[in-house]
Amino acid sequence: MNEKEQIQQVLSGNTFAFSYFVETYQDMAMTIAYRICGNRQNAEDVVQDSFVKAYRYLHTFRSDAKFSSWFYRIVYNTAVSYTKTKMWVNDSDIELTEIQEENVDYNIETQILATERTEIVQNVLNQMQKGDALLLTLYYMEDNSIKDIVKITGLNESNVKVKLFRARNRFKEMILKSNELKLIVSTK
Amino acid sequence: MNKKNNIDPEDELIRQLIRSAKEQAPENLKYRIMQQINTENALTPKPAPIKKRTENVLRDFINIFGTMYALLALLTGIAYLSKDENFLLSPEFLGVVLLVTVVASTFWFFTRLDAKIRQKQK
Repeated sequence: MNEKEQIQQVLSGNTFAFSYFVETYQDMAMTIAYRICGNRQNAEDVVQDSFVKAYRYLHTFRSDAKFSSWFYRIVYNTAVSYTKTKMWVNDSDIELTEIQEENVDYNIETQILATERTEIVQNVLNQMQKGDALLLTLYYMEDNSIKDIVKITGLNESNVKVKLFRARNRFKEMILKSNELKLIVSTK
Repeated sequence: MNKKNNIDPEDELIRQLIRSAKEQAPENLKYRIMQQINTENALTPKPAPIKKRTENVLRDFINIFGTMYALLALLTGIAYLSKDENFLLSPEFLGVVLLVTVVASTFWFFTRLDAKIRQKQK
């Protein structure tokens, strides 16, 4: 049964069918909420609240849209209003062309253990600005397209591109600076 | 950057690193969510079923024309008692009878028309 059929099942009164969406999206929802809230307890509350909202407003979901984008938008909005944090620093004066001229002259390869790696990446993401960490999560973790990210965050397309580019560079810099990380860094 | 078909090794590495940091939802979260949804469902008052308006032609007919005949009988009784027998055949009295009949028939006509329109709307 595909997602559209599952949605129809829920709308026709089969509450149990909604558990499919909870199972499928709870981990990613937790990740998004955690990036915004900064702690697991609040993230869990946000995820729970988001799923209940999604269930309540499922009839407003347009079947031609992507369920994940629609749902992540709910998680994003719920988490932002829950924490009352300002997600984005205003960098509207930075043009995309200007950014593209920046030369990132290092390359990373990894030889780190999986357990160490998770911890280090988690630390780096926690140290980054919430908005940057969220963009990287959305873009790389589930391969959301720029357009999907635009729908989720409400930012415009060029803004997402600029912020994502900068976030990617910051992430690389911070990973490289991390002393714990056993990286082979080769300068171009 | 948004062309994911171009597999950039550095991009791929970042993807792997970011994916390794995916949060896991606690095992009881799904249970909590489904329980809250079920509870809200149970507490939400269900919309009251719309009562179907029963269309009873005979009942409407009896109500309207029954009232009409009762009124005519009353008028006839009053006219017979207050005037004489000939008054019942006079144009004045027949005019009143005709008026009552026309009013009742018009009312019956609009009742049926309204019923038809409602049925069409459904």
